[in-house]
Amino acid sequence: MKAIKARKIYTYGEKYIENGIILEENGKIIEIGTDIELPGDIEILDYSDKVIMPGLIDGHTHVGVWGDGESGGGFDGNEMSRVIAGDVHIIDSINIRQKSFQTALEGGVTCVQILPGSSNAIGGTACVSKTHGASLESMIINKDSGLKGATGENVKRRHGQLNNHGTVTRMGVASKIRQYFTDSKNYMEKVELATEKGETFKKELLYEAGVKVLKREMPFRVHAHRHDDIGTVIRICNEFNIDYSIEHCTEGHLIKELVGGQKATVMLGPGLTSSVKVESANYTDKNPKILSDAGAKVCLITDHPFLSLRYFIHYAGIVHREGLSFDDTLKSITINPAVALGVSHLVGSLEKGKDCDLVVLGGEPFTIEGRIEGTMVNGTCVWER
Amino acid sequence: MLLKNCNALVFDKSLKKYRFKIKDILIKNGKVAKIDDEITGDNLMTVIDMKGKYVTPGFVEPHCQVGLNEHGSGIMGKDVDESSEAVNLNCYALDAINMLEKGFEDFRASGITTAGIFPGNNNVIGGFGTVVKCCGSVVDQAVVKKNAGLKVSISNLSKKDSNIKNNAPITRMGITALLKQTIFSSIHDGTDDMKEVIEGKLPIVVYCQRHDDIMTAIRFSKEYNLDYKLVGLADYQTVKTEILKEDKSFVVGPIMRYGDSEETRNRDVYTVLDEADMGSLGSLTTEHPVINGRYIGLQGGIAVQNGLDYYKALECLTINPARFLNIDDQVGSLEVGKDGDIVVWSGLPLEPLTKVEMTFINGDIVFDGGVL
Repeated sequence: MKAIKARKIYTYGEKYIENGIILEENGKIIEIGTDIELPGDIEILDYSDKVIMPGLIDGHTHVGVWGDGESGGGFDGNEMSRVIAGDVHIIDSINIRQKSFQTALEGGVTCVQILPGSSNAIGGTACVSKTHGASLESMIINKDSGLKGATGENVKRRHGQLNNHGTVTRMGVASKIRQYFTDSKNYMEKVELATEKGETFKKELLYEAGVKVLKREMPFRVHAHRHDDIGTVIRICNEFNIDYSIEHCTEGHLIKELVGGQKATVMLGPGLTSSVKVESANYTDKNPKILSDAGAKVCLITDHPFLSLRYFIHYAGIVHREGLSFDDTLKSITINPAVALGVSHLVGSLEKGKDCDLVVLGGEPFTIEGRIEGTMVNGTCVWER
Repeated sequence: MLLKNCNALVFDKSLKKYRFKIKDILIKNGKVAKIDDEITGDNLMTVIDMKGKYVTPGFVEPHCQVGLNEHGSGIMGKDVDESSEAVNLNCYALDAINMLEKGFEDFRASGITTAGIFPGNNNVIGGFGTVVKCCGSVVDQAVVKKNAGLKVSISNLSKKDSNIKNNAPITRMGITALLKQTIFSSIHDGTDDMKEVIEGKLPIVVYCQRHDDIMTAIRFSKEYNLDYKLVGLADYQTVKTEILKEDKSFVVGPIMRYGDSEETRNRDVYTVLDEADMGSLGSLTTEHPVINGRYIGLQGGIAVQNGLDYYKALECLTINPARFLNIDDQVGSLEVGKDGDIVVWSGLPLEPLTKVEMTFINGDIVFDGGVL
C-alpha cells in the first residue's frame, strides 16, 4: 500500500481535487480524495508541487510491431500477402522489448490499442495493452478489441498497383470488404445450423474474426481519411449492422453532419506531421473541435510511430489551442479512448476501484512548465525524468 | 507603419542576450526604421497598438522543402530528389519551388518568414539550395539569396535510390569516392557555381546523421578546403566536441520526429541540446514537411521542456538560422536597418497554447489571425 500526494489531481476530464491523495494497493486505487486517514508506516510519494492526471490512452498505435529505428525485420504490422487478412491477430506480432514501449512511458501513455497496419482491406484483430509489464499476457487488458480494416490509398497502392489483388479502385476495396462480411455471415449461419443439428464442421480461421464483428462482440475499426472513404465505411457498417470506429477521419470536418449524426467514434490523428499524401490533404487541427461539436465521440491518436507517443500530449495541446474545450481535450486522451476500447472499467480516470495508472506533470497540462515528469502503471513508478 | 507598445524581443546590450522589452517599432519602406521606448507617429501613418502582445522577428527555417515537396499532392507534387543520377550538379531548387503551395501559407500562419530550401537527402549531391521570403507567387521576386550552397548527403538515404538501380554508391566509401571525383572533375570543367564551391566561397550543406558520417563530412570538407555546414546530426552528442571545435553553423532536427530509421535512432530529445551547445551557431529545423513548419514554435517549446534555455531556443529559430544561411545582416532579429519581418503572438512564444496573431514580411501584413 502507498499514498500519492499532489498539488492538483485531475480525476475525470477537467474535474480535479486540490492537495489530493490517492491511496493505492495492489495496483488499484482504493481511495482518492483530500481527507484520507493514512496508516502511520505507509510509503508516501510526495508530488506536492506537481499535477497528476490519469495515464494517457492512445486508441490507435503500432507499438511493438513496427520497425521503429531498429534494424530491418521488425516490420510486422501488415500481412501484405493477401488483401483480406482476417485470420491474423496482432498479438502474434508484438515485441514487448521494442523501444516504443519505453517511448510510451516517456510520453505518459499507459495504455494503447495496437492495431495491424492499413495496407489490407481487412488487416486482422487488434488488442489493448498496458505499456509496461513482465509479459505480454500480463499487459493485455482487452485481447480482441476490434477488427482492423482500411479504405483509400494504402490498399490501392499495395494490392492494386504493386500486386494485382483486385483493389485497383475505391469500389474494388469496398467490394472486398463487403465480400468478407458476406462470407463471414454465410459461415456464421453454417456454423449455427451445424451446432443446432449437433453436426461437426470445419472451422475457418479467416471468418472467425468477421463473425465476432457481426455478433457485435468487437467493432470494425476502419482506416479512412477522405470524406468519401468515411462515407463508404459508414454505409457498409450500417448494411451489416455492426459497430465501428473511424480511424483517422481526416476529412470528417467536411461531412460533419453525417459523422456527427451517427454519433460515430472517431480516432483523430496523427497530428504534428505533414499531409504529403493526397488523401490527407485537408488535414486540420480544428477537426476534433468540429466533429465534437457535431456529436461524434472524439479520441486523439498518434498512430505511433507516425507521431511519437512522446508527443501525444503536445498534439492534444494544439487541438485545445484550435478550439476543443479543455475538458473535451483531456477526455479525448483518457476516458473517451477507454470507453472506445472497452476498458473504461479499468482505466481512463482516477477513481476508486480503477487501476492506478497516472502521469505526473510539472504544471498545468499543455504548457511548457507542464512537461511529463513521471509515469505510473498499476501503482508502480515505471519512468521518471 | 508604427507598432506601439510591443513586448518585443530585442538585444540587451548589457546582458549581451535577447530579452522581451516594451518598445515601439517603426517600419518604413519594408525595413525596421526605428525601435525605441516611445515613438510618435504622424497622421499619415498606420498605427497598431500591440499592448499585451509579444513581438519577435520572423522565424527562419534553415533547411526545408517547402514548395518542393508539395502538400497533399503525392508523387506528382514531389520535386525533392532528382535521383536519375547520384550527383546532380545542374539541379537548382529554385527551378522547382511552387510559391502557391499550401506549405507557405502554413509558414506565414506560424511565424516563419524566411526559408532555406534545399534538394532532398536521397542523392549524394542533390543540387543547389536557395533562400526565399515566404510570400508572393513568383519565386524570383521572393528570393533573398539565390544560391545558398550545394546540398550533399552522406547517409543511408544517399545510398537508397542508387541501390534500387544497382548504381554507385552502394557503400559509404562509395559516397565519399563520388564526392572526391566530383571535386577533381569540377576543378577542370566545373560550372561557375562549382568553382565557387571549390574556392570555399559557397558552402556545401551536408545532411549527415550518424557519428561516422558527421566525421566523414568534416574530414572531406577540410581535405579540399571547402566551406561546409552540417544538418541533421542525430548523433550530435557522440561527436559534439568535434563539431563545436570547427566553429561552423549547424542545424539539428527535427527533434520532434522520432528516430524512424536506424541512423536516426539517437535523435533523442533528452540529450540533444543545452545553451552552450547551441551557442550562436546552432539552429533548429522542422525539415518541413518531415514535421510541418506549422509546429516550429511547439518544437522550440519542447526543446525548452528538455532543458534548452528559453531565450536560446528563440535564437535557434531566428538569428542563428539567419547566420546559417548567411543572411543575418538582413533578417533574424528586430534591428534598425533589417527587413520588417515581424511576428505578433497572443502570449509567450513557444508555449503550446500561444497563437500567431499577425505576420509581417518586408513590412507588409501577410497573415492576419483576426487582430485587425
